[in-house]
Amino acid sequence: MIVQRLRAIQDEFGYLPDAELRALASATGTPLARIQEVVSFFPHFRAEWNKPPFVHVQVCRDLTCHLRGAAHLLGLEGLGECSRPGADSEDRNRGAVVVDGVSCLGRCDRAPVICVTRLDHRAPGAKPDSYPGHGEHQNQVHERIYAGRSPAEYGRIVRAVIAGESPAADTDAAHAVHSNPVRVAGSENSRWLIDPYAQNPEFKPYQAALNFLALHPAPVKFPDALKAKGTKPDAVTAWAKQNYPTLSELYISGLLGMGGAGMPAFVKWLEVWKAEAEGNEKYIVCNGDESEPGTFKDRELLLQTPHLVVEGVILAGLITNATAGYIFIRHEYPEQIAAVNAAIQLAVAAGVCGHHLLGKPDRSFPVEVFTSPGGYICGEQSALLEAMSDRRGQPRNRPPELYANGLRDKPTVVNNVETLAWSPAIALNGGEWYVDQSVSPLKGRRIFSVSGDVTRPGVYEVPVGATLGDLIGSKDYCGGIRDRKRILALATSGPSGGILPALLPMPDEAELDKRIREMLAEGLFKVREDLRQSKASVSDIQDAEARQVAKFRAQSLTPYLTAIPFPQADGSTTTRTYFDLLKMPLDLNQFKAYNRLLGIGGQGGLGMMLGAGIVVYAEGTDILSQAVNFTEFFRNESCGKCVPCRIGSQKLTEIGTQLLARRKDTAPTRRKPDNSRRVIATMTEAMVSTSICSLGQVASNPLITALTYFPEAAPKSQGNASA
Amino acid sequence: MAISLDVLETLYLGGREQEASFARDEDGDLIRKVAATRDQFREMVTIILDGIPVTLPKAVPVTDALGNERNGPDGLPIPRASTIFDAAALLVHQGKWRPQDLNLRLPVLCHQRHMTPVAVCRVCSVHVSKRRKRDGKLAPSEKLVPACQHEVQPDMVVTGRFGGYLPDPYAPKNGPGSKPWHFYYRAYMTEAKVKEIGDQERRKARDPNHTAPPKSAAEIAAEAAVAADQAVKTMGETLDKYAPQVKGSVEVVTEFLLTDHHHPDPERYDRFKDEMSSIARTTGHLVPRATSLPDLNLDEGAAVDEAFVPRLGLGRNTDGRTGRNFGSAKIPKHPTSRPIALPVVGPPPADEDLKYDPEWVARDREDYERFPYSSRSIVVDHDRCIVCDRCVRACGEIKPFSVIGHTGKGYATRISFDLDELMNDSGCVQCGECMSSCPTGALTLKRRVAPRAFEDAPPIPKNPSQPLPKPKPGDKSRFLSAIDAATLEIDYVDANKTRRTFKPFATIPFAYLRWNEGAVRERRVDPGEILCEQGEYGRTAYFLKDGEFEVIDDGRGGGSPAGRGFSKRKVKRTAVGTGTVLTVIDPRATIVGELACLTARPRTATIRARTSGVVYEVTRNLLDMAQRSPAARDVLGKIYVLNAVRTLLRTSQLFHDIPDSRRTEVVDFLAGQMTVTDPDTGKQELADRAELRRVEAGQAIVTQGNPVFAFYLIRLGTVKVTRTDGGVEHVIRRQTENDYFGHVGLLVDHPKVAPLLDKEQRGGRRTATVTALDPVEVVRISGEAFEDLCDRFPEIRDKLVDDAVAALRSTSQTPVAKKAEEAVPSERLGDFLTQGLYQGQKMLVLDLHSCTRCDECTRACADAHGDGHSRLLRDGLRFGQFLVAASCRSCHTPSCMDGCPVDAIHRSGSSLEMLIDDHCIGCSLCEKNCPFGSIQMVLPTEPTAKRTAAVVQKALNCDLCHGLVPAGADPFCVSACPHEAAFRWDGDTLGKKVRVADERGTGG
Repeated sequence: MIVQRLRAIQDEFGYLPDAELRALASATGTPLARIQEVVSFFPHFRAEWNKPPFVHVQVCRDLTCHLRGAAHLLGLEGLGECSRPGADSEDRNRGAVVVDGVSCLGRCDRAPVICVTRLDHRAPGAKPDSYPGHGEHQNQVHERIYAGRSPAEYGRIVRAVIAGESPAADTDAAHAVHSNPVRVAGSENSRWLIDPYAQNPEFKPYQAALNFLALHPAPVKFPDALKAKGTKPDAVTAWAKQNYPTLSELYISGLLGMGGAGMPAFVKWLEVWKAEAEGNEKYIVCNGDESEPGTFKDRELLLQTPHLVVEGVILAGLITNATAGYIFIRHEYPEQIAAVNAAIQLAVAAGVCGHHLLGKPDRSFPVEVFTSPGGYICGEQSALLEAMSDRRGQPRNRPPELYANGLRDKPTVVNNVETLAWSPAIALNGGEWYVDQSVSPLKGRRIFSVSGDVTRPGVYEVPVGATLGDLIGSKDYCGGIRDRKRILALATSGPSGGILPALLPMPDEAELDKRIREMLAEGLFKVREDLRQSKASVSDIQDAEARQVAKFRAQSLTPYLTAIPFPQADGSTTTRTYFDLLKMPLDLNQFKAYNRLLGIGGQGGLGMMLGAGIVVYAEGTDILSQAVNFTEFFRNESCGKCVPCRIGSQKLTEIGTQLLARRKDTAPTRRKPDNSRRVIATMTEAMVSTSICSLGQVASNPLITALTYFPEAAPKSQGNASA
Repeated sequence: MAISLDVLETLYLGGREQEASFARDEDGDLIRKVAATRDQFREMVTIILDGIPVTLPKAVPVTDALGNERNGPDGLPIPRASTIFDAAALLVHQGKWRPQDLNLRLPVLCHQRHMTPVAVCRVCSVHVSKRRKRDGKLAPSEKLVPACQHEVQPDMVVTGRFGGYLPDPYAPKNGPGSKPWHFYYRAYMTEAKVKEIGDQERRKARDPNHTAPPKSAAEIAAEAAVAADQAVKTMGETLDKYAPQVKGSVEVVTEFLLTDHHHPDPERYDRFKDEMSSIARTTGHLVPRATSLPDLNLDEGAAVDEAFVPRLGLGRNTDGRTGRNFGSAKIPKHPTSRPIALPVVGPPPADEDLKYDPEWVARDREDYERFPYSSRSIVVDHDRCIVCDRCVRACGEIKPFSVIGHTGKGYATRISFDLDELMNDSGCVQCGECMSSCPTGALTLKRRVAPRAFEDAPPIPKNPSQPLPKPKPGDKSRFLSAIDAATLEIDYVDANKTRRTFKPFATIPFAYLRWNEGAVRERRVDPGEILCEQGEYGRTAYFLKDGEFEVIDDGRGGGSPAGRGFSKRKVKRTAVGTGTVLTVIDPRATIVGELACLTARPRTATIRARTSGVVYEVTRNLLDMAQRSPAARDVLGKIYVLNAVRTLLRTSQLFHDIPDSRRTEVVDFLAGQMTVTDPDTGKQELADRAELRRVEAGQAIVTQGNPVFAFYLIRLGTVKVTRTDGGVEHVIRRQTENDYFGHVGLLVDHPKVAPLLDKEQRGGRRTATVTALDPVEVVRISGEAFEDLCDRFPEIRDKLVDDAVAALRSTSQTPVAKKAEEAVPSERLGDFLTQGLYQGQKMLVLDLHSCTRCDECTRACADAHGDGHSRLLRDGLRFGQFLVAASCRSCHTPSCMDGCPVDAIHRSGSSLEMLIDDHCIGCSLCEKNCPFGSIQMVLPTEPTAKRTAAVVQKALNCDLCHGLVPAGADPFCVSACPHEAAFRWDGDTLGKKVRVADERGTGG
């Protein structure tokens, strides 16, 4: 309530007048300090002392935009000079044009991106830089995002805005995003299998929800017989197969959460369906706070297929007997918010949403959009619920888990946009259909957003199990590296997974053997025990184990290796073997498994991950600069709740900045042994062990991977950087 | 491309399971937060903490800052899940760890035991392994967990940063904590193994196929010993394996904190206790350096000058400023901060003694320049702040103000006041709670409170740099400085008759002691000297250091000096100290006078020195603060309970007619400690037959329809007895101090009582609900103890039976209740209670039949006090034809004094008025506490000025014209009334007047 009220006040005044905040405090009985906590947490809110400037140019500074020269835009043709008015003046932003950085705006495929805001608080004829008092202002806020243009064009746009014009924004709707080829001739929307309605025109709108309501006119209660402690999960799925086909199909599909952690969607839904809350309140929350740099697939899903997202929320709500659904969308996605609102209206008209579903007075499931006040951390599911509860978007200490104590302390499903958007297709086509869309033996399809140095940055739906190389190189997808360059590095999970070379060095043989045995420990243990039972000799057991290890190597390691010849000084050639990242199947569990095998991220560190946002770097990229940019992003977006992340992310940034500065320092006498990698490794261990949420756990990944795999990028020093 | 799944199946499935972002228990079941239940108070869990087994209940009652259990509306304690930190505290309590081991093994910064844990600082991170039910193996967690918040689960193995052994020089040499962990663990495992093998043997014995002879006890013991040794070895390996991870993480987190926030400011060392430094010393981040500063010699967190040794070599601002206090050209101010106009200059000191103290004025100015967010009494140094949240919770949870919050996000987060204002401009009332809570000295004191607790003592200077007044030759008392108080030791003898040493003030935040310097004084007494007089109000308690004292009943009753009205006992008043000597006490008793001090009730006995001796006299606020520490509560709380029970048993109406000697027997029987055998464990334990219980206002003590378990004596406060018939609640009566209830239900089988009972009553269920009207203390005597009591003392049974019979024939049960009932017409009783009129001893009552609303009373009040403020408001609720004006009622159990941080509001001597001393800091807690709106907060000069921390407001209360009229004379509000319409009455008088009016038919 308070967050939305603050947005309304800000929309009216362009900032948050103290008087309004005091009035809000007394009207809602909230202490002023609590309001200040919220106001100051979200960068979107501007306090009265920090009134917005006349024109505010916000340049996205993260990952792809950084790669594409956002830093240069910050000095936009001399505009920077007039951008720093005296900080001590009574109204420091009065009349100013301010150019500064902002966290990812979600248009990485059209980097660099800027957002230009002009506050037209003025009576007609008044000078543009005057701030009238309350009451007499007219709310004319020009807030537009411009994307995919050259610096010269951006210069012209900003000058036009300063002159009072309103150049048309580069809308997402107008932008033809690169994507899969059209499947059904004449139907532009049939690029993706996720949309059954584009593939099969015979479906009525919201067919899946209508089917469900036809099949289950009354809510299905979790059967008492299955509530007993010790009930086997199989019994539940067997019951569902008979009696609850929609949930059963979801189970069969094996649909994983698409937000990054990869929790099976079935488990969340099942737990919330099963949960009995006081007052029977349960909630479905769709996490559309897509703020991770490099990730923009939800932007397209929300814009092009809002009906799928809304239907997914409705299906989740009907299956779990939830009382309300919320779609949490970042405020930088106004077109998407409008599209989803329109889809909700259609769903209400179709009788599958709102009150009195299909005319039944006792059944209702309203869905509404909650506009996010902004911030990457709100994508963390418990932080998202905190923000929805008018508090600072800070992750909760868990347990308790959200499916038991979520929004308003009630059982809550929090799912990614894409997870929910897949559910109508699974409900209509069946779980087996979804499983079959993959490269066996993995399951399903998934949507990736790829940006950076590729020919066609965009949003692609690929079968799980297709390789990273397919996604980047195939002409159906990204079409290879732009300008025919060679690939140098990849960020496979936005900034979280660090920055990895396409060819990863292998650990030495003994170490590799040890790790394989560790990974196979349980399987080998079983082999050993079986043989011991049959009284096999020790050497037989060792042989059997070695066979298993060799089999693993042959089947699960050799296919990913690439040998590169290196000519030596004496004229001979040696080959070195690398792990080829581009041969990796696009499956997040495989990524994690090989992460352990290759020892990425150091001891206890979380290295290689597979997220929805992949950024590709071509040869010639300054990797250290990119890694420091990743680190700065985490520093900027840390919520500040727990000490290891709050201070650790800042210290990592300081170390990175020093590394960059030291690289420029050419005086060899001043070089000191560089122990940055050791220091970062020590910090990593502590941050992974003690941070509340995963932001603090991954914050060191960029620097540690850059220093490990790109030692040539780091400053030269007497000490060995890889020591 | 092939992806092999046969060997890898487990791996991939395992991988998927690991993916789960849900917490799972040791068997892979999802962890579901189920609110802790009261059943879990009895559900015992054993965890292994750094190798030592500790058994504790799965849930413990929620307590307030003073350790009092918080009860739900049903009068039963609210449960919360026990944490690893609770288990650690229990180890200290059991003497297996020393108190300092807690700081070494599980240091905490953001947690205090009286606050809700937030687990943000992560220095209490520990490693946890849980035993899987599936195969009995330990499953180690990957992440560390915060000990302050993590719930205990059965068989959990917790490893702290030092694992099994503390390094030199922290390892204990002898005394508590000197036994190694495996001493306890081996014993625990041996016992478990003996049981396990014994069970196996018994199972085998039942198995007809099994023929081998059963193992002998010796064989079992030998086998168990071998198994236990193996278990010890495994445990040692576990501890050694995970301690380095914890240690490394705690060190990194500590370095993070120090690198950024610690900047030594030697001038302020003597103002706070630096908990962060005390941790950093154990991680090797701080080493003492040669210094000219005095060593403050505090146990933990002693403030000394020391050097920071960065171990990771992280960057640190060399000038110690991170730009949090204010911006500079080099270091930008926080982007989320409201700009401040520099230089900030605070208001000139309003205090006379500070205004003309050039040293203080200069210092004050400097403080504002260096720390512009500061206020007139607290220095706010953002550079020392670690954003641990303690002040935020102190302001919002412990105190009701919620002025402090967080501003900004991420690295830029800091604390702020209201809408990020300067503390002086915010709504902060400067109650000092935040300063007392701060672990790093980011909030430190600027001035002393300068309490005037002891009228005969010289005034305390407010400037904390000035020394306390030195005793003149021949003076028998002197003030204790904060350091003296913090290090003060008192000897006492505990329940096991062991001689122990107790440091009553060591656990009070040092900043609070410094702030309140002057609230503790050492007093030498001569033989025959009276410490305190029975029947008088006293604001202090006495820690006994030396000498012998006698407790004397002067026959002035435990009731109020003004005559409680309920007590039938009219004993001739004797001269002070000439009555019966009840007992002789020596310093082993630790403390005397705490009952009156803590409850604002009159002294229950006179205490006179028999020999010369030394006592430490302290005010209530310090006792309250001391009780925040469980260690101090262990000592003080027990004494309080014992004294409270003894006193009540002496004064209760029930034992009134029993001869003195016989009554002593009753007291010994009920309150004397005796040994009982626990039927479950067979262990001998000390138990009391009578138990003191505190009940919050509005909570039920017994509930209609519930089974009858106990008999209750009311020690403090008033209760209402209600019955619900057909959904309608009827107030039957009120009962108050020294009265009792619940006996009818325990006497249902008595031949005289049984015939009078209806079916419902015979069922052994409560026939009425008893609810506390204000904070009530009752002594609970269990059904069994009640039986014993009646068997041993038949005269008590006879009296109770008579009461029960009388009650069943009419409506009242006891003479006390009967008397109360006579006072107020029954149809007005509900109003009488809800309006709180039973509390009043001197209520300002206006007879609306004769009052002409001329407002003379208000004017007379303002004129008489000469400051333009009237202490009364001629407004309030009507009771019959009378209006009870908003003016101090001189309550029986006043709640205004609860929690006054500086002990400024009090009653003293034998008169009823509440006086507010000049050192009132204007925190408005008393105003909030008074349920009758009698206390006002006023500004000394401009009544319309904004209420902010910059201007000192003061609490203002009716003082019954103390010092303005002769003792006992009517105050001006009454005497000035031209129509004789104003009276000062107690509740019963008002009730009677209304009854008379009602009977005459003139009632309103």
